[in-house]
Amino acid sequence: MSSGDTIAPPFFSILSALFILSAASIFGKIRDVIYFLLHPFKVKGRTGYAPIRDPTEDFYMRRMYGRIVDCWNRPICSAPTAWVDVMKRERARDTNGIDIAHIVPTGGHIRCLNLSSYNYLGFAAFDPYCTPRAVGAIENLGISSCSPRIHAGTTSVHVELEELVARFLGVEDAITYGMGFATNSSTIPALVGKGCLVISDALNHSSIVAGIRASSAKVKVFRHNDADHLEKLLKLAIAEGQPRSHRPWKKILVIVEGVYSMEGETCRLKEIVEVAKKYRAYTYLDEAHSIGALGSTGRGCCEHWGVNPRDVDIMMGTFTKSFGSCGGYIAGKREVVEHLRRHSPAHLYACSMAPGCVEQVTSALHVMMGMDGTDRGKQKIDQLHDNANYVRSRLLTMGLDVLGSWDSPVMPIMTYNAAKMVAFSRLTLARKLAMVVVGFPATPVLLTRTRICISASHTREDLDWAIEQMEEVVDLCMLRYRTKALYQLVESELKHHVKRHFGPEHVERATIKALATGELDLRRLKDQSAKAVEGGIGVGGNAQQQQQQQQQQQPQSTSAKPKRAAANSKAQLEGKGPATSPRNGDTHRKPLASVQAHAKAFVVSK
Amino acid sequence: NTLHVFAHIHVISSSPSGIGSSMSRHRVVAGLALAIVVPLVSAYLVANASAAALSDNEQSLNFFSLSGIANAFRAFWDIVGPGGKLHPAYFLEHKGHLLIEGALILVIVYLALQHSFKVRRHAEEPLTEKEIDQLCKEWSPEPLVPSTAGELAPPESHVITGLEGPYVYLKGRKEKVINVASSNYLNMANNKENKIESIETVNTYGVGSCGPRGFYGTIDKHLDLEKELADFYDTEAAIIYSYDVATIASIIPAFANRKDIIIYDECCSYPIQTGCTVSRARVALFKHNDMDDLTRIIENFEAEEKAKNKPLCRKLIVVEGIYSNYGDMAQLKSIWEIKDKYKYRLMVDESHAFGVLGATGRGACEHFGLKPGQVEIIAASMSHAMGSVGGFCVGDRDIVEHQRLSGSGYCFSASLPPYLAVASSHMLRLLRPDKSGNSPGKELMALLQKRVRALRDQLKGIPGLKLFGGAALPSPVLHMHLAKSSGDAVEDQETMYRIADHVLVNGGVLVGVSQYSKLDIRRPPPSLVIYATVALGEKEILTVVGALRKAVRDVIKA
Repeated sequence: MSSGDTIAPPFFSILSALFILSAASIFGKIRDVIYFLLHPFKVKGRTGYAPIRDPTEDFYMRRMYGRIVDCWNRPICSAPTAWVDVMKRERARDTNGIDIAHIVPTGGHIRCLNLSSYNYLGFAAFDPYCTPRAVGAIENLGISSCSPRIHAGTTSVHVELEELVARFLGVEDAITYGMGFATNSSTIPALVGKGCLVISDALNHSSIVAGIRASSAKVKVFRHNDADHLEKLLKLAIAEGQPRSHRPWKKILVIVEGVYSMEGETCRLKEIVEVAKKYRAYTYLDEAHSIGALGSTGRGCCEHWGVNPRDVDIMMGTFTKSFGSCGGYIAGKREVVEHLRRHSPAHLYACSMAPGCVEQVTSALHVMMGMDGTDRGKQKIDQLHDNANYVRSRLLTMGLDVLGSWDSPVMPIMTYNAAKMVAFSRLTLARKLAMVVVGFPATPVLLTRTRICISASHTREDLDWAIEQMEEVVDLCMLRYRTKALYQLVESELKHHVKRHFGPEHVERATIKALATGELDLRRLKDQSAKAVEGGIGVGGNAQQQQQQQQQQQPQSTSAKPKRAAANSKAQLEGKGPATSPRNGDTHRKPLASVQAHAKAFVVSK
Repeated sequence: NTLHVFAHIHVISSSPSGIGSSMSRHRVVAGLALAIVVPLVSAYLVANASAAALSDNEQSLNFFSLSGIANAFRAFWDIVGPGGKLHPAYFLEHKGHLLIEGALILVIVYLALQHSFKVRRHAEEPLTEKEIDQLCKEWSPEPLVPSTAGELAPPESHVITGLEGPYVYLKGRKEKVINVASSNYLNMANNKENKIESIETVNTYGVGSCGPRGFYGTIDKHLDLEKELADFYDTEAAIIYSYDVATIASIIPAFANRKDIIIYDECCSYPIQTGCTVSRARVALFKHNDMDDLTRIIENFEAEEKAKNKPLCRKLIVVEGIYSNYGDMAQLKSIWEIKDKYKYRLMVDESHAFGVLGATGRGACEHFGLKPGQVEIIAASMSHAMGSVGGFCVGDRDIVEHQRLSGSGYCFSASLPPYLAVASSHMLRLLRPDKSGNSPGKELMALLQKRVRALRDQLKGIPGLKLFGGAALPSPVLHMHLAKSSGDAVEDQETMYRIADHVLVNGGVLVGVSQYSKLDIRRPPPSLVIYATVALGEKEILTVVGALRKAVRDVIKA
């Protein structure tokens, strides 16, 4: 079961939420009536043309969303790093009743702690390694290639990035696009079409939905993160075949995300891949939020769960989040990528990724892989996990309902009530915290939430200060729901997490409280276990494979880039290659035992 | 009394219809009723008859004489006829109806206690677990991607390693080559000042924006660009997207759903096609630049709407200012007249026309004399004349604000990297006229037109190739088709690849060969794509033309 299943809004908060919503809608209707009585001859829109929005949607936008429009689209005037300058705004004078409220900057800004940008690894601002390289690419190759990849849009940096991504992920080949959204929406139609079935997680991102709609494949939705339900759907789909004609499906594609952006949960990749393999369905893993953020070396969801990346048919990810750039990639088997190079519309028709953005990703990957000659990449990922786990444990001990998994940098705090959500957003901004709130229609009406995204660039002082500020706001908004089932589930997940990563001897003292007070220091445990591994315990298949591969590819890149050769070999000497954590080896040796233990942990937690 | 009985029979026939009302059910009920009532009545009759016979036993019955028969009949009639004890009336008068009623009540109670049984629609039994497992085992899917064997393999993309004016350096080649494969019309992507400004932005803002527009991904540079775009187009508002193909593909679904109508030119490029597919609207295509066909389709739709008396729906005509797959232009003046007559909204993709056509560079709409506001939705890519990456849309505030909430590529995607927004702003500033009405952009556009004319004039005369649209078009997108097609698209495509290769190897010119995805609803004929840019000098144009002429001669002959 996932943490989202344990929560249930308390009765009183359902009541108050519904009361607030109906009050807002009744007063909105009354205002509409008054407005049209005062302006009897004012007709909205042009005669003969249908209105752009349907009346219900229009009412919602004007009278409900219009009241709280200041909670979103807040402009900033600095790099989206640990601290941002949020621009001050106010409602425009010309806002009337029949247009969506207009809100304009008034000049001036407030420096806020950034708890909202997807800057997981802290590559968003000026970086001494990355930024000069990105600037160099702009100087040499221009701002844009003004051409799709097939004509004159392929530059040396594109080729280098594609090789590097494939190597980083441990797959055969990769293709890059200039936008994460377009990566999904143009790849899915190139892979599946008429007579194919897509089985998609219930909480998949809008870009996946757009991609499925653009293809003419049929779609079925399985319960969020529920491998059993997936199996049931797969069985039924294969047995029954296509609707009406009952012909067998041409192929079935299972689409999941690595970390769900509104839930903060990691995908149960191991179980899902096992089920998909059993029924010969293909898997498509969207790592938009998990690449760079999960796994001990930032290699994403596969590394986190110890799944061989070659077992996932299509690995998709974006460069927007962890790598502080823009664009996306598809990685996988050579023939798949080759097919996309021939038929993916975003490869054939779209302008190629801007060279500066490409070089930013390449250099960020260099840092993550230790190819810059320092251990900054390792520091960053360790810092990110440390920050994320610390904040999560602090928030949980405060009595908040926080969803999501350990190590995941995304943590939604449930408010259950649209009014509380808005109050929370405004109060935190007044206390110089830039936070994201999410409500209907992005979530169900009663499951409104506010979301924190943690970055490696946050210091412990920043986070302590933020939590101190939030304590007050949380009391004002009465958000301490203390849902017991959720707390217990998350604690059992923590125990499981510690057991998997640091060994069973630490499970006893692995509690959320211990983590919040600092009695349990996961970062120190990680360093200790890493040392133990270096001290002679064998490393399992996955990591070894990747290392071998890196060694194989090393000479190629050395000949192509003599400048980096020194850095590469130095990194190799220092053993800063990929994955030397014990759990890669551990899970690889007995995958079944790990799954059983995992399953058991969830049963116990129930 | 007789009525009474009929009433009961009526009850019988109607009571089951209250429980379940299929024909077969009626028959079953009637049969049951008969099966119970008939034996009861006959038992009663027989009992009565035997009693009567016993009471008359002294009078011997002689069946062999006529009077005997008559007597017997009379005796029988006394019993059975009116007034007789076996006559139904006697039976009913002596509370016999209670018996029938009782029997009927029993039947009703019996029926009421029965489970209503369902008639199974499908005669088939559902699959058993074992059968499902077997089917799963037997199922073998197609490979994830089809085999590429037998398909014409496109050549490897050329890798650019450096730039120098209109020239580029390619990997594996020492000499620089002329680049006519980039739509960098005003040379903004390599503009020195533009680069300096972009680099400054990278240094202060970093590269990416790390968030969607709604969640702190709105950077002041985006707001500046939107304001400049709205001012430039003299519209109320503007919105920017972070990628060119996602722009139109997310705008169209924001303005149409299942109930609505979209009509677009059959030569529109893939983003428009996919936008229409994703919207699920009722879609119709009109013949390329054929106004009569457009009118016919609209009138068909209008007649259909009228006949079905449907409520007013959103109607949209989508065209491209310059068709990227052909290089010719939409007849916007006539399209606008039609659109105005039938009250359709018009959406124009100005990607290749923006910064190229029109007195101030607003694109094809301006070129055809349409004023700001006459075309409801104008969208364009920023990756051509602007020399940046991304896309934008300008229109009324209502049109733009609606996209901020419904444009999926806007809401759910990270925003444009700030330095690319700055690069776009830079180009807009160049186009902005000063007090005397001149601007550096205007000079660049005039120069571009000169290059277009020169290229078109000289390319139309190459034997073996056919320039689409002719020499008079002001469009900087030049598609060269084979003058004599072999009739086989794959063979033509291969010829094109060979020509492009020859041009590069022997002439030192990089040209593009159009290549279409299997997802395109219609694949235009194979073509060489040449973009006119201001960076090309007269000398370079001569080289391009010469190289092409030679290549066609060599390749088509060989």
